[in-house]
Amino acid sequence: MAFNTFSYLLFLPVIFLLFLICTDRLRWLLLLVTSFIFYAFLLKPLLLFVLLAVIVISFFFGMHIEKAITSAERKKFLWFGISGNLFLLVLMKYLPFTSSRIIAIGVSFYVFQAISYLADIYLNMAKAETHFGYFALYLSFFPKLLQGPIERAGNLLPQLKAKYAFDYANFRFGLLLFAWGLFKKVVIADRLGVYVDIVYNNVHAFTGLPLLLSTWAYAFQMYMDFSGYTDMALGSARLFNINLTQNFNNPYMATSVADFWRRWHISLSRWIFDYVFEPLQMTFRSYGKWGTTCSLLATFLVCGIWHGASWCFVFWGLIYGIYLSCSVFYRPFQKKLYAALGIEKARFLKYWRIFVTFNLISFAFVFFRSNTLGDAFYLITHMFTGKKNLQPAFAFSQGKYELGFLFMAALIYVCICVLRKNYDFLSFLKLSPFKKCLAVYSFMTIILILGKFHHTNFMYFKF
Amino acid sequence: MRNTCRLVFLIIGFAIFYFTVVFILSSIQFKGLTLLQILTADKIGPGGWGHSLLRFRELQNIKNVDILFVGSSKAYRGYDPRVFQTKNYAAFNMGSTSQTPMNTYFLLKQYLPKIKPKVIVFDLDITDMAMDGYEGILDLLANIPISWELLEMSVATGNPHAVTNFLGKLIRDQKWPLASFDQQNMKNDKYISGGYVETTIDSEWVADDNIAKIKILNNQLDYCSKILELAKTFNIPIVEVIQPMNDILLRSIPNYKTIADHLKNSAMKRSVIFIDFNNTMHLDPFVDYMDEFHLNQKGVLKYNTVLLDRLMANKVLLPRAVGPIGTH
Repeated sequence: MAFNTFSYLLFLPVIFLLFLICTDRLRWLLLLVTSFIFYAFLLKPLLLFVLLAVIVISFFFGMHIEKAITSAERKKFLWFGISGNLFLLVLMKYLPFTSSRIIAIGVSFYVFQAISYLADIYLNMAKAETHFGYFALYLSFFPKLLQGPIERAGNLLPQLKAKYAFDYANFRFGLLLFAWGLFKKVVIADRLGVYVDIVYNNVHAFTGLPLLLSTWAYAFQMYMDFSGYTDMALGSARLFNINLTQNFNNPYMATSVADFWRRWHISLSRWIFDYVFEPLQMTFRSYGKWGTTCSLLATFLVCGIWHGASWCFVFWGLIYGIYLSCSVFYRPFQKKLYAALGIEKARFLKYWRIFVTFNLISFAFVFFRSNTLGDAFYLITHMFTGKKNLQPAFAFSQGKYELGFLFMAALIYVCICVLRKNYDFLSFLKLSPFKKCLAVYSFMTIILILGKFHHTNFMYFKF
Repeated sequence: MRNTCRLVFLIIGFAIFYFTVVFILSSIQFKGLTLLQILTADKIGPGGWGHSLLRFRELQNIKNVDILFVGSSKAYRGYDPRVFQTKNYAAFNMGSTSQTPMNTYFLLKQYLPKIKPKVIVFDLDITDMAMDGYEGILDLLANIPISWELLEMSVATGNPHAVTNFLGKLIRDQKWPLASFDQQNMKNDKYISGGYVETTIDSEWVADDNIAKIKILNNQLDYCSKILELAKTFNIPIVEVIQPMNDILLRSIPNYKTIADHLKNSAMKRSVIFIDFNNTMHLDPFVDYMDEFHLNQKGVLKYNTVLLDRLMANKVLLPRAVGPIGTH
């Protein structure tokens, strides 16, 4: 069940009301059962078995890692646990037999979470959970089940066990965050998607500006879609007094590619940094900068393949590997150059770097979005050729008003971003009750009227 | 308790606010469409598309027809009542643009008690069964009077725009009554009494080589079953029919057989006659079709003649002496 569907808008309040009525002793059970029901709505029974298998494997080996006396035994159980989880991931996602029949929605997210749980126990950074029910809920908690964030046991488990007391501020904040995410998805991302799909699904019909504009539009569509989903997940969880990890922090304000990865899909970036990059870097540490380069290339190759078994994703991962590897070498010279020119603190330099970084990211996104590698290369080679004609770029819309609505939606988005401070909607709510109501009502009305409610899934579902 | 009251108050407040906004947006018209329709990308005004305004006006005066056809544009362009009149059967075509089984169900719920047909021919358009019924409802919201079933249909789409546009219609119909509109003329189309739309196009399409699986929505399959149950409660025999599709379109749907088999099994379980004309009839893609999906007049005449024979052979329609039709 996707968050932008009518069914979820009915499902969430019902579960929340049941949660309020339940006693603390039974709340975990209610959330666990509803999480499985939520997953069952995908109508793919096999996925329920996979989730259950990941839970059982991780719980069992988590306990054994903790109980093991020798470090060899601990290591053995760690690898058994990781292998079991990875086997299921590969089976569901990469083997043609299963992956062609079923889209493994959510699998990579909870498998990664299970691996981090096992690794944290092995590294003595977390204790193994002894209550099977809480552990199952930790992996299957419905707001983060399909697209993350990838939660660490240390953050989520204590919150799931905490006693619940209704908190109006939390409740209000959760609803507002949910509405904000819905706005990003149905009003902005899906509108941008119309244009992006027209160009990217038929790239050979275009040259020049439409290709460039659709690539930029895709970068924003992806951000609005994914961060919209995350906001809706965080908002849903907040109703139950649970704070999930923030997954985005203004990624397109990043001043370098490394900075971008600290702000984009933060839970995955941290996971990859902790469990792939760091072990690799430790292995190659004696090779200095070249060791770091190899680690970065391998890490982003893994990241690319994680997104899917296609050459486009491999290229996308490699591009990031190359960006970051290059920065290992040029960063010291760059710093010296800026210092020599005396511009290291200049404001224009910051904006210039933001612009360059955004374009580097957009370039990588060409591979991420293209249907085939051939399309991606066509797009890159034809982006700055052809007629300098704006007409095809704007001729995308089914109706002539579409572009105006998109502009209007973008304006509302920017205004709200300026009005609120970071994610503090409450600062925006420090208005008189009447104005507050009017602002929220207007916002909800905009979503209901300007949103696109045709069955469009979230873009990260397929990963 | 205080918080619950607060929440209820906020919800009621929002409902009032929302209705006020919809009222304002529905009261301003711009080039034949209200502002609400423009904002929600609902581009169909009264009299637009598919001749539904004329069809449903004519339907107001129809009682006790022999055959009622239901379905999408393939239905209103695919069943010519004049062919059935040659054997003295009164037929009416209640097809409408992108009418999915969900839309059909609510239309039948509304009109069956009044029309009381002797048999229903339910045209199954599998390409439309992949849609949620929102497109289907836009044509109906523009062209048929307000009814409880129309509200139920709006809610059943699961699309907030359908409900918003229903509210908009409530307001719009007060200010600009449906009766004050005329059917717009559609290029190359002619409305024939009995709900049929005849095209003057012979063949105007180019084949492409797209191949795509059709993913039928489960709720549309549920509505197919509900339609069969509904007909049963009114004791009206129903025949499920798949029109002959052009070879090129048929080849482009690799899972066609699976879907057709599923529909056939579902019909057989309820002892309903199911005829897939793709198994028994072949029409020329560039002679008998006006476009990729729809038959032209030549194709309709060929298809309807065969269908009529099949209905008579299956004893769904009993032979009649040719003479004046008294039921229409």
